[in-house]
Amino acid sequence: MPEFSVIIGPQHPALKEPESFTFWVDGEDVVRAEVRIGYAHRGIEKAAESRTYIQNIPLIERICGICNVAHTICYTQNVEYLYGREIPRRAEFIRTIIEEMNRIHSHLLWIGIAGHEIGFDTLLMYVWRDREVVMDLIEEMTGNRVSTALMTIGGVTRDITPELATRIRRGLDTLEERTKYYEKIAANESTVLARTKEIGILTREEALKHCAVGPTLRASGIKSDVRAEDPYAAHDEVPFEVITTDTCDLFGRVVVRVYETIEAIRQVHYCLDNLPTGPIRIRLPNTPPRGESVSRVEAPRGEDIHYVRSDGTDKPARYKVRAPTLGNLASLVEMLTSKGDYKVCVADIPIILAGIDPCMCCMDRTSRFIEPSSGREWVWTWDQLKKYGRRRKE
Amino acid sequence: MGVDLGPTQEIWEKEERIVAMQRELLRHIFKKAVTLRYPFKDKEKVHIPSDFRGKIVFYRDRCIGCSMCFRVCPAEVIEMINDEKGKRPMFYLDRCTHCAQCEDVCPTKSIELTPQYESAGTDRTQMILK
Amino acid sequence: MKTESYKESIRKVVEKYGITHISTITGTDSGQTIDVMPHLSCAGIKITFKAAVPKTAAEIDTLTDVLPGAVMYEREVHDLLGVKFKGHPNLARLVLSDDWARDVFPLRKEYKVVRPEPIRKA
Repeated sequence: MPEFSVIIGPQHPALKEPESFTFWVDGEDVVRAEVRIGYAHRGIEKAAESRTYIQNIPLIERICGICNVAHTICYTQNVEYLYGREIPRRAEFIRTIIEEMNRIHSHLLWIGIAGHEIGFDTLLMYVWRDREVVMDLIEEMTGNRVSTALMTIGGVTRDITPELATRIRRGLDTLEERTKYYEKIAANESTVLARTKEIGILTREEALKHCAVGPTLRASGIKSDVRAEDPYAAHDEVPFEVITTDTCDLFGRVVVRVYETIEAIRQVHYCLDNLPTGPIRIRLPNTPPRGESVSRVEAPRGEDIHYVRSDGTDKPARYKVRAPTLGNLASLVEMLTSKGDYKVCVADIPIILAGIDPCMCCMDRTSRFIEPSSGREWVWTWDQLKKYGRRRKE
Repeated sequence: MGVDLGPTQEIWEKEERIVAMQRELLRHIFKKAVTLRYPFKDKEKVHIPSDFRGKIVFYRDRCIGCSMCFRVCPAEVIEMINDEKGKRPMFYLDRCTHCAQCEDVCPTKSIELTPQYESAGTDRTQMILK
Repeated sequence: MKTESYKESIRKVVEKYGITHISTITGTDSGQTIDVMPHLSCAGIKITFKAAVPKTAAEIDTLTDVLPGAVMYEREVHDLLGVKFKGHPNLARLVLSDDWARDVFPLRKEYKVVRPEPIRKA
C-alpha cells in the first residue's frame, strides 16, 4: 500500500510550540517520522557572548519560562565554579526550595496539558486551578509568578521570613492532598488509561541508546537523576527518592511525574524545617579567573547541562546550553515509528509529543541571530525566519 | 451466599473507575467559578504581594550617580544623563524586563520596583522615566 | 587530544567503563582552531574530552557508532560552526533555516552580530 507523508507544523493547533514533523503514514499507522526544529531559535548563545556575566542572568532565565529556575541555577552555579567559591548554605537551601516549587509547577502544568491532548479538558481545568496555589506561593517568594529572578552570582537576592514559610507550608499541604487525588485519577480513570497505556513505547535499550533524559528515561526503568548522581545546591542533604517505573510507555511517564511532584513537596517541607541561618549571598568580583566549567542540573524535563569558558574578561568567551528536550528528540523519533507489533496511530501523535514534555523554546536557543538588545524572548514564524535569512545573505 | 453476576459484575467494577472523577464534578456544579473576571468585574480581588516586581520608581534625592544600575541592566533600559545635581539614570520603561537587578545593586536604594502592574500604553515616548 | 586519536580514545574509555550517556558536544571557536568537546557522564562523574581542529580544515570523526546519542549534537555543531563529522548518517541542518548561506557559520567569532538601534525617540 503506498504511503504518503503528512506534515504537521510548525504552526498547528495540536502543538504548543513550533516544530515541524513529517510523518509517513500507511492508513492510520505511522511508519516513519522526521523532526525539524529551529523555529524558536533566538541566538542566546551568541547573545551571551556580548553581555557581562551579571547581565546574562535575565537572558539565561528567559531560555524557558517554565523551567527558568533550572537554567538560572545552572548558570550561576557554573560561574561560581569558575571562581572556585562556595555560596552560603542558606542560599543553597533557598535555591533548592524554589527549584522544587518550580518542578511542582511544571509537572502540574504538564498533567493538565496531557489531559488536554487526550481530550480530557476537565482534568486540565482542575489541575490548573490547583496550580494557582503554587503560582501564588512563588509570587510571594520572588515577586513574579513565572520569571523568578531570585538568583544572582554568589547566592540569592531574597530571603524567606518565618511568616512566608508558614504560608508556604499551608499551601503545600493543600497541594499534596490534591496531587494524591490526581494520582488516584491517573490510576483509575478509564479515559486516561485507555489513551496512555501501551502508547509511546520506548524500551530500556532504546532509551539508553538514544541518551534520553528526565522522566522519559525514568519511565523506562532506568534509575538516573542528576540530583542523586551529581548533587548540587542542597540535594546532598535533602532526602528524596528517584522515581522510576518500568512500563516504558506514556502511562509510566504520567506516574513518574505525579510521584515526583509529591517528592518535591516533601523536599520543600524538609528544607523549610531545616533552613540554616546565615547570609544569603557573597559578593564576588566582576571578572572570574580564566577557565572552563560544566554544570548539570535536573530541570523538570530532564538533565540540563551548561558549559562556560572564561578568558579573563567580564564577558564569557563561550556559553553553551543543552536543554533537556534536545536530548529527548532522538527518543521521540524512535517512539513515533511503528515497528513489528507496535503500531503508532496518527491519533496518538499529539499525546506522544506531549509525553516527552517538549519545551521547544529551550531546545532551539543556540547561537547567532540578532536580538533586540532587551533580551526579550522572541519567537519567529517560519516566514520571518526565511525572510531574515534572505536579508542576511544580501 | 455469593452470587456471581457475570458480565454485570464487570460493568459494576468498571463503573467504579469511571466514577473516579464524577463525584468531584457533580459537587462543583453548585459552586461558583474560580476564575476572576479581571478587568471587568473583579479588579479588587486580585491579590498582589507588596514586593511584586512592577513599574520602576526612582528617587532622585537619594541617587549618587555611581552608574552601577547602568552596568547591570540586561536590556539597555538605563541611560546616564546629567542634570543640575549631577549624573543620574533615565529609564526607558518600555524595554524593562523587571528583573530587579538595578534595585538589587543600587547602594542607596534610590530605585524601587513597585507593585504597579498596569503599565501598558500606546506611545513609547510616554514611557520614559525622567 | 589529537584529532587522529579522538575516536579511539573515546571508544576505549566508553568500553572500559560502560558509559552510555553523552550529554552534549560543545564546539568553541578559539581563534585559529575549533575545540570539539564531547561531555559524557557515568554514574555522576562528568567526563569531557577536547579535540582541536583547525578552522580551515574542520573535519573530525563521528562518534555515532560508539555513542548513538551523539547524532543531534554533531548536527548542531556542524550547523553552527562548520565542523564536518566523517561518517555521520545524516548531517542535515538542525537549527538554521534551509535557505541560510552554506558557508556562513554563526557561532564563529568572525560573524558579528548587528544589533539594531534601540528605538529611543518616537
